[in-house]
Amino acid sequence: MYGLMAGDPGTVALVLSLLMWVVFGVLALIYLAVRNNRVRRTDVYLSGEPESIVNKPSPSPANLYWGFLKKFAYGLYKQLRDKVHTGNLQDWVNFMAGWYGLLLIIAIIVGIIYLLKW
Amino acid sequence: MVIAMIEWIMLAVSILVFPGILFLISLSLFTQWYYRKLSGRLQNRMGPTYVGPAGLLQPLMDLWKLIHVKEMAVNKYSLPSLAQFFGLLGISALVVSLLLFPLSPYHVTGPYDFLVFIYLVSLWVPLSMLIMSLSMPGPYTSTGVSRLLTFITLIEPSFFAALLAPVALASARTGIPYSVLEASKNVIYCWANPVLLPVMVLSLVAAIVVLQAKAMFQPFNIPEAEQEIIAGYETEFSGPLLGLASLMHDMDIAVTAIAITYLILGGPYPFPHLSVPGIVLLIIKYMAVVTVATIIKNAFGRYRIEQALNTIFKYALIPAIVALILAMIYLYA
Repeated sequence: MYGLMAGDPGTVALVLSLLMWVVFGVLALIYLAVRNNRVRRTDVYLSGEPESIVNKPSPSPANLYWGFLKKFAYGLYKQLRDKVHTGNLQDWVNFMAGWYGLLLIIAIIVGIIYLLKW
Repeated sequence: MVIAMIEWIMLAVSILVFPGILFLISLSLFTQWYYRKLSGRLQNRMGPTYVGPAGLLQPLMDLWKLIHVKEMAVNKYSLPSLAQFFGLLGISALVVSLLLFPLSPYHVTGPYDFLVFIYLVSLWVPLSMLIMSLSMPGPYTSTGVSRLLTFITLIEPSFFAALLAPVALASARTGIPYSVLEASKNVIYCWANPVLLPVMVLSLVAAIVVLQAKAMFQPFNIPEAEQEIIAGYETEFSGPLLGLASLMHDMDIAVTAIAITYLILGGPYPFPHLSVPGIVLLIIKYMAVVTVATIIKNAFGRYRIEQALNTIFKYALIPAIVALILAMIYLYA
């Protein structure tokens, strides 16, 4: 079996990163040799509309905010909020006591396992 | 001296021919042909037919036409050299990642090299794709990139967690923990252990959903969303640059499918690579993974961004994390 058996992941990362640049060099040579060098100047593609209809060639990064935070992360938050903030203090106590109780039990079990050196 | 020479030759063969540049390009073009052909049949169409037997060489001809014949269209905001640089860099990362697998005649291995695999395929490839797109800006491109970025926040952690559970189980007690090579060789025995079966099934389900999302197959094709945002992050690509982007996308699908085939399904094992049953088993597993992804692609329509994120969260991230917790309990409790 041929190969390199490294002692740590850092060496593997270093070797593969160096090899990545070797592959990059080979691919770049092949690509430059076969690609068509002709370039055509055009406008930004706007479904046939002139560029004046947009004030910037790129829309705002708010897309990410609306897509991820408002639609996805907010959904998760809403579930949590609806579970905790029912307006009933007893629900809140049950929720907090349940989770803290679970954490306490886990901490006790892990502590016992550690002390008994299992 | 002779041994050192043979080592260098094997390294060169592994990088340039098998499983490096030549093999990976061929495999990704074959995979593209297969999912196009199967999609065609599932939709009562012919799929690729013109070039080669049963249209087998159509993806190669498409790639050659884009790179060699078509011109590149650029606008005043474009940075085509930067886009091409990152296209080639992303492809290079995918090529060298295969040196970690037992498929390669020359292995690079070490403890925790799974993290290096993730570094190559989950950092360099998405980063390259994003920089390529941002180098050719436009309103549709930016919308596609922001959707792609939103996806990556869930896909890549899910990919990592889905593969980490089987890798941990299969390699933690070998001499080289968290090694891709050792995990590939031993993961098949995890399927034979009834206690570990739920972990393996959860990881497989999560990994298939991740493959679907990484490939941007339906229902997760919102970043390219044809008709809605033209071609999304690929809108401003043309000619050789579109060829590079398309090749990197297909290679990403091929490497993800190879990772699932080896790290979850066990590759050719328990048979050796250089045996007929081993090769047949390896091909069957790889084709099964791609077939499942293609069938899902054709059974679904496109999800909206938040629907897609919720689906990835429910069916990829949560199963992967549950599998990981169960695997850690099994290993360390």
